[in-house]
Formats: sequence, structure tokens, C-alpha cells
Amino acid sequence: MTIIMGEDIKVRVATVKSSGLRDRDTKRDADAVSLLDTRCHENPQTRVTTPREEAPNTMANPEEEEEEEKYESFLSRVRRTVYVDELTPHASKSVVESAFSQFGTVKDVIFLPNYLGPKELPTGVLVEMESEQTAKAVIETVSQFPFMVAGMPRPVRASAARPAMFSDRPKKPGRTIQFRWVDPSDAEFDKAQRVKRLVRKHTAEAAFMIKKQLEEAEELAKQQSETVTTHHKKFEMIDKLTHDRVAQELAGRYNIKCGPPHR
Amino acid sequence: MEEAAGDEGLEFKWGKKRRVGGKKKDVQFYESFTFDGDEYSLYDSVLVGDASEQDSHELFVAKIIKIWEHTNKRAKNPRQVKLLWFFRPSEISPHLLEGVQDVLANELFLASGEGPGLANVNPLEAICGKCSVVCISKDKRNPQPTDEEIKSADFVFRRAFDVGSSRVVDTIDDKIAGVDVTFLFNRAGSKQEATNVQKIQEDMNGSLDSLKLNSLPACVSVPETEDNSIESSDCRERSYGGEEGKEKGLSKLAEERSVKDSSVQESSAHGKEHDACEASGFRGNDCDGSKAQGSEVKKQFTKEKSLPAEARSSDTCDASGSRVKHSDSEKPQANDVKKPLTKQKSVSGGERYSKESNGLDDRPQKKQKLDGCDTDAFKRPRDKVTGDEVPPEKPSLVKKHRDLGVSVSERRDAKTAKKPSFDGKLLQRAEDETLGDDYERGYQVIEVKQKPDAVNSKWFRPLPWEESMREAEKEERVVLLQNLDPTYTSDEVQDIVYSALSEQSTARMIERTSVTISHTGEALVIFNSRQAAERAIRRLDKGCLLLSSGRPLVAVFAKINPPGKLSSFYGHTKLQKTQMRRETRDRVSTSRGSQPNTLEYVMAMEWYLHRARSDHAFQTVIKRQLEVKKSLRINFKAKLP
Repeated sequence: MTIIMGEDIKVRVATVKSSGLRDRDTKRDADAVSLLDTRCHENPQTRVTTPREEAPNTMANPEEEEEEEKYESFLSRVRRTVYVDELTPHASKSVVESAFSQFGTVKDVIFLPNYLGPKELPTGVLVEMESEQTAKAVIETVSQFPFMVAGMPRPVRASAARPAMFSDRPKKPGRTIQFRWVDPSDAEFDKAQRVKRLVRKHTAEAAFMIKKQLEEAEELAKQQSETVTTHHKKFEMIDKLTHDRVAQELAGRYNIKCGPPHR
Repeated sequence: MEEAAGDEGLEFKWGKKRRVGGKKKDVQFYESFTFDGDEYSLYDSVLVGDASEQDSHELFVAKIIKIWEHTNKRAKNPRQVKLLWFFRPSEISPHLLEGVQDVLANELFLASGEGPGLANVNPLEAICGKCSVVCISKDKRNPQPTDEEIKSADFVFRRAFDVGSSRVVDTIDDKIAGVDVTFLFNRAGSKQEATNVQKIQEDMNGSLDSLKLNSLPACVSVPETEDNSIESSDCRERSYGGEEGKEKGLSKLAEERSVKDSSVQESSAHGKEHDACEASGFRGNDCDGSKAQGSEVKKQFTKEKSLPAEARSSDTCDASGSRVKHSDSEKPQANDVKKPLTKQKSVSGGERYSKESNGLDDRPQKKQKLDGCDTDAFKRPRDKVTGDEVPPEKPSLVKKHRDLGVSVSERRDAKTAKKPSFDGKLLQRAEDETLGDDYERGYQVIEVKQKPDAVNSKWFRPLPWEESMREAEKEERVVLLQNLDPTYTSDEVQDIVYSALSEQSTARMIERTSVTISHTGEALVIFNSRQAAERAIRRLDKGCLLLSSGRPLVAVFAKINPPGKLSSFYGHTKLQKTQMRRETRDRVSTSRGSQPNTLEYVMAMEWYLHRARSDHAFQTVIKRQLEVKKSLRINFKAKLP
């Protein structure tokens, strides 16, 4: 394959065709492809896979409709779903479900796997509610009041879900992808190479930002835990003193009123 | 954790007392004890069995950092030890091991930092035996070991593994698990050495030349060596253990003594401990010196012996080793010389060894269990030294080394995830807390896997795609495709790969979340074979596949996080053990909003602030990236020639 790369690069535009092993009937494929053909731009291009030149639109319509329907239902699902972020990885599906069932019925909980990010990244979850309004209500409430799931005090974050968050989403109907191999002699080649390098740079930048974020989070967490423990100790001490009546005694001596009565 | 042999009549005897502690003054701390014929002291390295599998050969290595007994009879495990763990490379996920250079075959990583897996309280009876761990770190605080010692050590360590951040760290902190690091490095030589020496002397008076010769071929030279001599009580005791019951105790002692002398002269740079260690190391390294067989060895040793007082420690190590053999086999007159030396050496020993001497007493009788030299590289030096007889208390230990060797090599390839296995072990290690012992808090396995059911049900049913991805990851068939249009779907990606690269594949778009770049898409693509994956990457790299959105595709081998849950999540604080336990049990019911008049609320606000800041920063970066990309827009419609 690589040899081919070096030698016979011609500029050719090819329309993407479904891979042969896919589980759709070939007829449909053919139809889809021909449909796509008609939507391609006008220049005569070499097409790698074009079974038919004409476009029997009428025949393709049912499939097209089906696709669109699927997409529509997907979109409505997206609108019903809340994207919950900054969740602890210890939270299980049932925890999340019961947490959000306070707002309404939860239809589904999908955990977003973290394959590439740093390990300490908080988990993201897609919570599908039963209706769009419920979803909106969830987002509103969680944004206004700190809502803590399975641990305190870090609250979760909720926002509207977007199609790109679903990895198993259906294809947007009516879209065609084309590709071409760029010849090294092409003027665009350098640009393309630069873009490629840029992509890597961007990924690194993003990863760095995330890392910084995590570090700050860690620091904040440490700080807070210290605060909590000191506060706790203080309260404990006060508690003990009031319990032992020591505080009251001292208060009496200094003529100060002592706080909450001994339980 | 099962009580290994507490009730089966394994002998037990306390050693030196330390102090009394605990809330009700009912806890007695000790400095040493004798168990099943071995004497253990504080900061010894021991082998601990895996509680989950009774007869497993999996033994963990740990350092004793506290020993105590509850004097009131109510505790079910009155005698307990606190162990600071060492991690074997096989226990660490390969993902975390990349970038870690030169992991030796018998290298361990000292647990450090804070978090679960650092140290545990275990019943004393869980200890399966001693082992020798030599610290080969070049840290200034660490007495450097000799080559002999290193070679004859069961394990070496020079790096630590931070359990909090799950990373291998090269520097060792000043205090680990509340223990000053000087105790964790090799220990300075001490008079114990001397007493041991005497012991060995007695035991080994009957020299077994033949045995020695036999053992020599079998003794495989231990993996490599760091070139320092570090003082390690283990090392020493190991060597002692090795000596005893076997050959040339006398000569050995003599050797070491002479070596020590010579080394003292030449190695002024090293401390006195260094020397002592060397000496001890030599003892253990009888077999180690065996680069040759039989007489060859002797020759070599003679040669080496000829250059005793100069050069580096390793030389002296060898020399001493050679001298040991040498004298043992052939030169009786040397013995006389050595005897006085031995005596001198005894004097110089430190106190630590006195503890170990007890153990050594019993050793000669005990260690006649296993036969034949184990040719495994990880065989303990005792094994080597004693040739046919393998000193470890239980045969399983030897097997363990074998397994260890095997597992280390194979695991690295197989890329087993660290987390699941690690967590499983943690569950076992987490022991009952000793009430009234303030030292335990903070070192226990706390939040990990308190609800195993919930965890299992979620994580042990991986999605089919994930399964195939993990499979593929092992075979390195997974490629990360970047710079896709974020609106593409997994199917489309598959189509693209098929059409452009003529490869069958399965793909999954990675979700665009708040932590991923929103203007570009990525997908994980599983190819059918590694070559296919490589081919694809090469093609996309060299050439330029432009998609209709004007984006050239970028492909790299995907580096995927190992499966399993992480143990850390920032932001959740817990007050006390008891409260936390209750909470985790009731985890389902702890989701709630917060009232503005609580401390909780204030802290939540802090988190909001943090979030807002990071979001803003992230978005700024993304925006800038977008602008740059726009400026580099490539024309998809090429001008046809």
C-alpha cells in the first residue's frame, strides 16, 4: 500500500461507499451512492464506486425518509438528555439514577468512557429524562443550586446534551463525505502537512489544559479537606466542652452568656 | 486474611520490646519477634501471602514498619504488623510503566505517597517469610550496596511508586508512611553481622565442598547490578541465612572480614556501613561469584582475590566472594587468618544484627527443605549459596520467585490492567482497624470498592465494543484518527477507512464533551491486524488524505487508558472513617442539593469558581486554535491538472 502511495498518486475524487461487509442490502447501498452522486458537484470526476449514473430519486426516497426519521428521533432524544459532568467515578449507574429521579423519571443513564484523557478526569454521564421539559428543569436546578451526587462538596455540572456526545448516533442524512489523496506536488500539500502538525499541537494543548485543571482541582480539594477537618475539630471541641459543662463554667466566671444549651 | 499458622503451632516468640501505647495502654509495641523459626525485626522485608488464594504462589513483598500486640485478649488478631508495601512491576499496569526505564527483573517499587495500597495492618501470622530487598538507589542517604549484595538480593528497589498519583517516581520522600526514610534504605552494618558471622562459623564448620561445587553451576548469576553497595539488613540477613547450614562459614567470615578490611582502606568514600554490607553481601554471594564452574570458579576467585584492596566495591565484592570460595575449597591456611578477622568483624557489627542472630540460630535446622538449586534467576541467594538446600521457609517462596520471573516478563507484554488486580488485592489487604491505635488512620484502603456489587455490575460487563477494543489494544491494532469533522458518526468513519485506505475496520467516535476539543473529531479505529494499522498510519502520515471538510486526517497509535475505576476523585472530602463508611453504604441516598447557610455550600461555590476559571481558560485556548485552523483552510476542490 505504501508503495502505491509514493508512485501513482493521482488526484482523484472518490465518493465514500459503505464498506462491503456492512449489514445493509447492496441495493440500498447502490441507491444511496447514486443518490449521493447526484448531489456531488458538477465537475467530471473519477469516481471509484458508482454503480449507477442516474438518480432515481423516487426509489431512494423511502430509505432517505427512514434515515431522516431515525435522525429526528435521535435529535429528540438528544433534547431530552442532560449531560452531567464532574461526577465521581465511584458513582454507579443506580446512584446516578436515583439522584436524578428526584426531578422526574430517568429513562437511561449512559456513562461516557474516558479512553484517552487523563485518569483523574471526572466522569461524564448522559442522563436521558422522559421529556424535554424535565431535562430543562434538571439543567436549571443543577446550575442554580449545588447538587452533589455521591459525595460532597464538589457539585456536578449539568448542561444540555449535544449530538456529538453520543458515540452511537445515526448519520446525518443527506450528507456525503468525499476525500482525496493530495499529491505531494500539489500546492496544498504543505499546508495539509502543517495542518496535521497543528492538530497534534492542539491535542497536546488541550491535554495540557486538562492537566492543569486537574491539578488545580486537586489543590482545591486538599485545601477544602483541611478546612473541613479543622472546622470539624473546632466543632468537636466546642461540643465536648459544652458537653462537659466546661464552657458553661467558664462563661459563668467571665460573665458571658454561653451558647447552645447542653443537650 | 487467613491466620497463616497461628494456631498450628508455629512457634512464636517476642523479641525486643519497645514501648507501650494505645488508648488504654493495652498495646505493646515490639522491635522484633521470632516466628516459625525466623526472626523478624522492624524494617525487615518480608513476604506476605495472598489472602484471597490460599495456595497461591503470589507473595507480596513488604517492609515491617510497626509491630505490636494487644494485651487485652478481646482482639481476634492480637498480634499485628503494619506493612509498607513494595510493588512488583507485574502489579503495576504497563500503561504506567512506560517511560520507566530499565525495570530490572527483580526490581520492586516502594510504595510511597498517600493513598490506598501504601501500607496495611495485617495479622502477624500473615507473614510467610523473610526476603532480602536491597536498595540500589543512588540517593545520598542510601548506603550503597556491593555488587555481590545486589546480585544475591531477592529483590532490589530504587524507585518508588506513588499510590496517590499512580506514578513511578524516582526520588524517595523523606518520610513514607510515617517512617523515616533512613529505615527504608539499606541499613548500616552492625554487630549483628558479627554475631551472625559467628553463627555461621559454627554451622559451617563442616564444609561441603561438593555441595558448593554443585551449587555453583546451578547458581545463576543474578540479574544485573547497580554498582553500589547498600546496606540492607535484609541483605545481610539474607547472606547470613545463606551461609548457615552450609559451607565455609568460617572462611566466609574470614573473607568478609578481610574484604571489609580492604574495603575499609580503599573505599573511604563509602561509609562504614557500606563495608559491612559488602561483607555481608559477599557471604550471600557465594554462588554469585560463580561465573565458572567448579575449579574455574576457584581460579577466577583467585584472580579476583589478587586485587582485593583496590578499586570499586564490586571488585571487592567479587574478591571477597572469591576469597570465600577459594579459601573454602582449597586453602585451609586462609581459615586461620580469617578467624581472627572474623572476630574483629564481630565487634564492628551493629545492634541490628543481634536481633537477627536469633533467627539465624534456627535457620540451619530449618532450611533443609528444598532440594536442588533453582536455576531461576530470582532464586534467593540463600538458595544459591546453600546449593541443594533452599533456605526459605516454605517451598512456595521459591516458586514464587519463579512465578515472579515469569509473570514479570509476560505481564509486560500482555498489558494486564493494573487496577482490577490491584484493587482485588487491596480488598484482601485491607484489614480490620485496630481500635485505639492512632497510627492506622490514613493508611487503610478506604473508599475503594466498598460496594463491590455495584462496581462489579457496572464494570464487569463491558460493552462489546469495549471488549473488542481491549483485545485489539493488546495486539496494537487500535488507531486514533484525529481531525475528523465532529459531526461524523462511527459508521461514516468506518466508511472512510474502507474507501480511502481499503481496510475493514470498526470505529467509534469519541464523544465531544466539555473536556475535549469541540471543533475537531476523533475516533478510535480497530483494524484487523497490526500491519493494517501500521499501513494506515504510514499512509496517512506520509501522504495527505483530505476530507471534504478540508481536513487532512491524522492517525496515530492509540494510547488507551487501562480499564478499571480510578481511585481518586478530587473534591470529595470525608470527615472520619466512621462517617464515611456510613456514607458509602448509603451512597444512594446522599445526592442532594445544598443550603446556602452551610460550609458545604461555601465549598461548593469554590468549586464553581474553579470550574468557571478552567472553562474560561479552556475555551480561550480552543478559540485561538480555531482561528489558527481557519487561517490554514485548505481547498478541497483541487484544481485538476
